[in-house]
Parts: sequence; C-alpha cells; structure tokens
Amino acid sequence: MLKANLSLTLIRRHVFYAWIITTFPCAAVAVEVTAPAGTTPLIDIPLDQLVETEVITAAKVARQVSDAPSAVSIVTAEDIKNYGYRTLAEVIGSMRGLYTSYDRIYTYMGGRGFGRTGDYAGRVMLLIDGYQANDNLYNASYLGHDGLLDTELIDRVEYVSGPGSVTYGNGAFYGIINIITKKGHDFNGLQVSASIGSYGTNKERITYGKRLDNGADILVSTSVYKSNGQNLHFKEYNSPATNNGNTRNLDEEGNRRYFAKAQFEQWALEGGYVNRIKDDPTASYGADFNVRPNWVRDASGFVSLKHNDSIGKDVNTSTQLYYGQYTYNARAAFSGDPYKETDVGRWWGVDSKLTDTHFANHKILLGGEYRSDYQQDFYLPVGAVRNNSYMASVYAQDEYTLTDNINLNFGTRLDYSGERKSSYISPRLALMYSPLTSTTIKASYASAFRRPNAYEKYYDDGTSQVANTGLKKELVNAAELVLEHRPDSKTRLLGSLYHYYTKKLIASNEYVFDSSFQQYINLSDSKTKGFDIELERRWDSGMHIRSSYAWQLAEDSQGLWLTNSPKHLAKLNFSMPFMHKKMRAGLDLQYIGERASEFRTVVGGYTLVNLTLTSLAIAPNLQVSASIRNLFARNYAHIASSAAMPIAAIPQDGRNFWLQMTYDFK
Amino acid sequence: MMLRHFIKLLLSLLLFGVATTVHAEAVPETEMRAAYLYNFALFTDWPNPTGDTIRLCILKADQTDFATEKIENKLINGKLLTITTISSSNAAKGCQMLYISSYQSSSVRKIVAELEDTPVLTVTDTENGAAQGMMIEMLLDNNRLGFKVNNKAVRRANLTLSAKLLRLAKTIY
Repeated sequence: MLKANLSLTLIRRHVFYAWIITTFPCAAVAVEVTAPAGTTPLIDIPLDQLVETEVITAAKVARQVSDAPSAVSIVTAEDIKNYGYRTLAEVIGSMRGLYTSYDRIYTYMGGRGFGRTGDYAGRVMLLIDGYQANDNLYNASYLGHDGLLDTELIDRVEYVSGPGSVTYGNGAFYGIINIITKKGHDFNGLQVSASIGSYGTNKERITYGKRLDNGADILVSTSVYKSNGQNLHFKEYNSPATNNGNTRNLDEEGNRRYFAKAQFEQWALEGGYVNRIKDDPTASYGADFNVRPNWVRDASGFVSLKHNDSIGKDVNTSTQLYYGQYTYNARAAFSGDPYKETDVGRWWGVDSKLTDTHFANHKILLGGEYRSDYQQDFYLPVGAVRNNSYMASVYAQDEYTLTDNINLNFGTRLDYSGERKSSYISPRLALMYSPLTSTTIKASYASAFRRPNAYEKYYDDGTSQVANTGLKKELVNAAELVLEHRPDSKTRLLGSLYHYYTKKLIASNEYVFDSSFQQYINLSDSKTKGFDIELERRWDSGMHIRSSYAWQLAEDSQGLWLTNSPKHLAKLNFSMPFMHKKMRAGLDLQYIGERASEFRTVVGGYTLVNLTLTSLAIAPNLQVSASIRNLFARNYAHIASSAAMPIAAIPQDGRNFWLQMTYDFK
Repeated sequence: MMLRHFIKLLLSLLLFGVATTVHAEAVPETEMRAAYLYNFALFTDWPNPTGDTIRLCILKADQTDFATEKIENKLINGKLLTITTISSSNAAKGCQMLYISSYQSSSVRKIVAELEDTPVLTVTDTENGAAQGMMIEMLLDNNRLGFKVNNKAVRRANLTLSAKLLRLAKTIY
C-alpha cells in the first residue's frame, strides 16, 4: 500500500519537483571549492593555535535524557529547524508510531492503537521542563497553535512510549511527551523572526536570551500568530439551507504567546502563557452551520519554580512548585439562539524527590507530590457546574545493577484521590540486559491509570451531554520488549514489541435514555498489540536520516477495530546540506494507513510529503527557511469526532507554503 | 500564481547565497577533543612516578566522544599514552587521567567525591563540570573548543598544570 502510494506520487510530473532535482546539484557543483587539506597531525600543533581553530560539531544521534526503561524517540532543535516544524503537532506527526488528527479546532494525538478524535484527554502526558501541562478540565495537551510553546524555543522533544504512572501518576497512560526548552545561552542575544504563509498566515516572534557573567541564564520570548484560514466545503451539509455546505470566513485563527525562564545556581523559575482564538467551521454539537460567531478561545498559563540540591555526595534532591490555569470560552448559535460558555480550571502542586546512590549497585528514587485542582468549573447557559479535587502521592523506585550488564528497575507509585477517597497503585518492573556495549534489551511490565476528568464526569449542558458522576477510572496493563542498538555514536536502531490491555476505557457514547445526547461511560475493555522499528543515522557531512515503521491493531472486547486507529504508520525524514553547507534541504514523508470513522466507514490512507529548505548564508546572522507542506497536493481527510456529526471526515490542507526569516542581533 | 513567486524568491535566495561563499579550515570536534586530551597530558606533572605509561581512562559509554585512535600509543615526554575503557568510575583510581562526557553529568559529583585528592586528572565536557569539582572542563564556544580549569582541585590532588596551559584557560577557579 505504501509502495503503491509512493510510486503514484513520485511519478507525478511536477514543475517544482523537476526544478529541485535539476537545479540543486548544478548549483552545488558550480561553487565547488576544494578545502585546503590539513596535513599536520593535530597533536603536533601547539595548543595556543588549537584554541583558535574552528571545529566542526560532530554528528551524533541524540541520547535520551528521560530516565525510563522504555523506548524513547527524540526530535532535536536541529530537526525542528531542518524539517520546518511550526507546531508540536508537526513534531509529533514525524515520530515513530504517532499521528495527529486535526478537526479544525484542536489537534488530537494518536498512538499505540488509540487516537479517537474528540478525545481531548489523548491519554498522553505533556511535560514542559518537568511541568505537567495538561489542563484539569479536559486533560488536553494542546498541540497546535493553542499550545504553550513556539517550536523555536524547544531544545528537544522526547516521546517515551508506554505507561508512566509509576513516576507521574494520573494520566501518564500510554506515554509521555517530554519537552525540554532552550536556555537563554542558546540564543545569546536578541532574535527576531517573521513568517508568512498560505491562507493569509503570518507570525512574528521576538526572543532575548543571555547567560550572565555570574552564571545566571535568562530567556524571554513573545510571539503573535494570525491566519485567515480557508473557505471550506463539507459535503454532509450540501443543501441550499446550509449554503450548499460551504463556509465563508469561518476558519480564522490567532494566538499570542509569552514565555520566560531564569536559572541561577540551583534555582529555576519558568512561566508561559498562550491565548488562542479559533473559528469552528464544522458547527460542532449541532450549532448553526456557516453562522458567525462560532469560535472557541483557549488560554493556558503556568508558573513553576524548581530547586535542585545535593546532600553529601550521594543524595540529589529536586523540588518543584507549580501553578497552572486554563480558560475556555465559546460562542455559537443554536437554531438562532446565541450560546455562550466559559470554563475555568486552576491548580497548584508541589513535587519533591530525591535520588540516593549511597548503596552500592542501587540508585534509589523516593518522591512525593501533592496536587490541588481547586477549581474545575463550567459556566454553561443552564447553570454552573463546579468541582474541585486533590491528589496526594508517594513513589519509590530502585535501579539495581545486578551484574555488569544486567539492571533491574522496579518501582511503584501510590496516588490518593481526595475526591473519591480511594487510592491507586501503579507498579512497574523492568529488566535491562546489555549483551554488548552497543546493544540493550529492555523487558518491562507496567500498569497505569487515568481518572475521568471533570469534563467527562460532570459536564452537563442540557443540549449535548449528560453527566456521569459514577464514571470510574480506566486502567492499562502493558508488557513491552524493547531493543536498542547503537553500533556507533552516529547510528541508532530502536525496536519495540508490545501488548496493552485497557480496562474500563472511558469514551463518549449515545446516552441510553435519549439518543440525541452523549454521555461518557466506561465503555469496554480493549486490547492493542503492535510493534515499531526506528532507524536514525547522522553523518559528519551533515546528512541525517530517521525512518520508522509501526504496525498496531487495537480492538475492543467485541473484536471491533477502534476508531481512528491506523494499522500501518511509516515515516521518513531525510535532510542534507548542499552548496558547502550554506543551504539545507529537509524532506519529511509520512504514511498513515486507513482508519475507521465514527460511522464505521473506512477512510483511506494517505502519504504526505513536506519539504523545507533552509539557508544560513544569505547575510550574516540571518536564517531563511521555506517550507512546502503537502508538496504533491494530496487530498486527504482526518476522522471527525462525534461532536462534528453529521461530518464523518474533515478535509485537510492542500499544498501550502511557509517562509520564515530569523535574524540574530549579535 | 503563488508557486511561481515562491520559486523565484527561492532562486534569488540561492544565488545570493552563492555570492557570499566563505571558507575556513575546520577540524572535526572529536579529533580536536583528542588533541586537547593529549595536550592536557603533556602539560601535567603527576606527583608519583607513573612508570612508562600515562593511562587515560574513559567510561564504556563515552568511547565514541573523541577520536581515540589519533592519540592512543603516542609518546608524551617519553611515556606512552594508553587508553583504557572502564565500566565504572570506581576503577579510575589507577588511572592518570579520567575523561567523562556530558552524558554522565549526573555522576559528576559522585566521581569528584570518589576521586577526592587522588592524583587523577579529571576532564569533562559537562557544563559547569569545573565548578562542580572536575579539574578541566572542555566547552564549545563560537565554534571553538576552549577549557576551564579548577586549579584548586588540581592542587588538592597534588597535580601541577604548567603555566602555559593555565594561560590558555578561559576561566580558572
């Protein structure tokens, strides 16, 4: 299937494609200049000359920083630049076994068999420098322009597949997205950036970062984004009463972001805020089609203060105090009546942990967390739904070095929910064996849970959803076998084989007493099995390749294939410099197999090709980057959520362009 | 048509890019690191006789961080520089030099404590490694490799670094 799709797109004769293959090699040859060959061995050159000699940074496949005995995929700042990723969703879309679905309001993440559109929770925890960024109403991660971070501020994104409740508790269900932001030192001055793109899109950013002489590191950044969007057609509304299914000027999006961080000695203070407004062209929940206003506003903010210390030579401690908030506003019209909604979530918490290496062959981790979700309110036309809750947790882990090449990692976390007055235990056991220095085999068994969020449990608007206060937590038990092979520092091969058993999966379903309503219930158990494989290699010449394939099969207890869960996912990233490294091309290819819609129809698979060209040599300190997404103008659609009924699939963007200029004041 | 404008713009960027060709002779970072380690050995005096060899120890996981082949078995003031791979820092006491890559940053404090006052020259790529008690910290700055020296730690271990080396250090603690 993949092959057929590929050859189809490749044989397509396209002016731009032809231009690339003909122009680039010629241009590169035209300026070929032989570099002077260094003949003197470096050890014979005096040190005072060596310190003046420029070095070429070695190509190296990034090593994980997430401390987890599972499979970890990594996207670095360099990849973000080379492949032109503008949102976290685009970063995630390029990763092993992951995919995103956009319903023209939110971007949902899928992976490991699960990816139901409209499932805000997504079941993946998003960490920004250790802060849990999911809100406390919908548990959503906000991966698009509604997310907290500009991708230019990201140093790396790690995807840790598998349950992470043993460390992070509630909600770290199928995996963790761990984001590490850049330091002020990485900017070392003022950077401004301006971008324009298709559909009347523009973005401006200004960032200042510096490491001061006393060692303090500061970073401040703000950006603004605006897109006019498109006039869209939805065939399900193809009648004269609904403008023949056409929406006009109802796809606009805009955001504003702020981010700041400061580090000094053992202290780190960080905060971010994003305010995003997006029109909804899909008339969700049965709103009037092609009628303004129909928009949602998502505003998220957080502040976190971290302190790292050590006691003696064996004990390291880390304490994080955090505050977060999320506000949602919506305007729409239902049968001509204006609709207005405001949701507010606020929370704070403190997490403290220590690692102890005092005992030979043991690395012990002990921690505790208290989190207060002191506001979880929905202000609906029918009245306010208010709630609050708290969670108190303790956790312990030990990494036990049995022999030179065998490690045992075991631990558990106990979470006590103040709301339900009940506790949950999430254990994990992992065995790591390195038969060779370059090869590691990890076998793990873990269990994780997710409590129903405030929206799933309490939301009751009298028009679309009925509350279910009896909703119970969902659970997953996962067994995974991971193979990691690094023949050298430039190459990495990662493979994993897994089996997940999910109990009492929370999902929205037709309300039993009135089919015009939806209600979240503990739907059924489900099983997912699958495997994935990823190969990454970097060359000293600057060439980079990362390629992955994933196969997964997710079925509920009746053997029914889960919604929006493709069986095949293939990714290819290839980038290389040309013209003496002054330019770079980055190719991003994604294949997503066919999926089932909410109506059980099968929506076809697609191959997407994105191309980014980056130039560093136009003027000193200026970087120009041009991206074409969906290069071959493939028509494809994402599965719509049940809220978008009668729409089954949502058409996605055709070929679109993006041009970005970034200037460093040095 | 949008596409044509886009191509024109790219083409002009490309051509402009060609006009500003600059060339400099640069060295791979791994080889430069090896050369630095060689020089550190050259400019260090150990208190006790080290025999005919200078043993540079590296952790198993750090093998690929520098071009070991460029300096292995080279003579330094008549002594042979050997490279030994060790599985844990406990084994470093019998070495003259220990190199720790930035991936081992979490173990820096532990290693410093373990080797306290032992005449082992500790070298690292870890950020703030020298401030944490490692003797020499290599760092990349403006595409050039530089280094910081924690001379207090050097002296506590009864080692002596030559004045020439100290003069070239970016920072001395």
